[in-house]
Amino acid sequence: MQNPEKPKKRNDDDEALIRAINGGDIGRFDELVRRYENQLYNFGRRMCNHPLDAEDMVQNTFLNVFRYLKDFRFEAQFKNWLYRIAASTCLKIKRKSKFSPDDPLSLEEMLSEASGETPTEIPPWASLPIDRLLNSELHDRLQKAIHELPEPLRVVLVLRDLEGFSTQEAAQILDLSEANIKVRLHRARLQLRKRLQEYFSYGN
Amino acid sequence: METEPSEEASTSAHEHPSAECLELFRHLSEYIDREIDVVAYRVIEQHLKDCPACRICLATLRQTVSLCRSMHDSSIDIPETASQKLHQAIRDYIAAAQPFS
Repeated sequence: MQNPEKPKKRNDDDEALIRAINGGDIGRFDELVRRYENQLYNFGRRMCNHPLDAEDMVQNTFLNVFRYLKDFRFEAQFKNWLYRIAASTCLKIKRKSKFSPDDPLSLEEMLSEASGETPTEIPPWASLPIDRLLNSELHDRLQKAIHELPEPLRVVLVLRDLEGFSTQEAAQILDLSEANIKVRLHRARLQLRKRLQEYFSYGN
Repeated sequence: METEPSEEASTSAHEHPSAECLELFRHLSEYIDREIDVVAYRVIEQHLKDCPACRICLATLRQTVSLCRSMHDSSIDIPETASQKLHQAIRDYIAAAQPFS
């Protein structure tokens, strides 16, 4: 199977570091933060509209990680546990934000709409190599379209397609079933596909 | 290299969207991610061979996924000022939590 985001092995470096911190070497928590602050910041930027919200998310996440690190049992990868806290923190920040898109069409409505298209040939944008297609304008439009996805869809799309987590890992992070992750991911992708179709039809 | 149903496949032998098209469309992401069983995968491949409109749906959805995945390459470092603020906040929190250490 070709999914490139297969579950990763536990990062032994993380385990040793966390055991040291939990054993009393609290000063090394800073090391753990440095290890993940850039990844989390990018996750925050993809989830939040404003860079300052992303910075708040990173800070709140690491403070929560510090509070609860003693409860971490090494049953999952630390990174997945970290993202679980980060996703929850993101959603809390977003709830405070005035930006909250309406619920999207149901999957049935989306399927009916999208599958009813009757184009006669593959549009040029769908057959170009990505490196020829993705310029800064398209990048910004796509980022905007991702931000405009309803939260329950956006968080799944970001975890799966941008952060590279597997379906199983995303399900663990969000405490959802794998079936639910798949449905949400499909809905998110269909919405973005529609935006791209509109962009390439009318936006250029 | 992923295998695509042949472009030379037969033209649609049915009205699109048929019930089969709708069922395929429901599982198109799982097909792209190779997260369906072999039997379902083959059923979809056969349908794609017979349905040009569904092949176009697949191509556009697959390109959407590729574009999303390519967004990962635009990752940036946290701004230095934000990083400093973050580390200071954590030091302050730790100091407050461990006043006698």
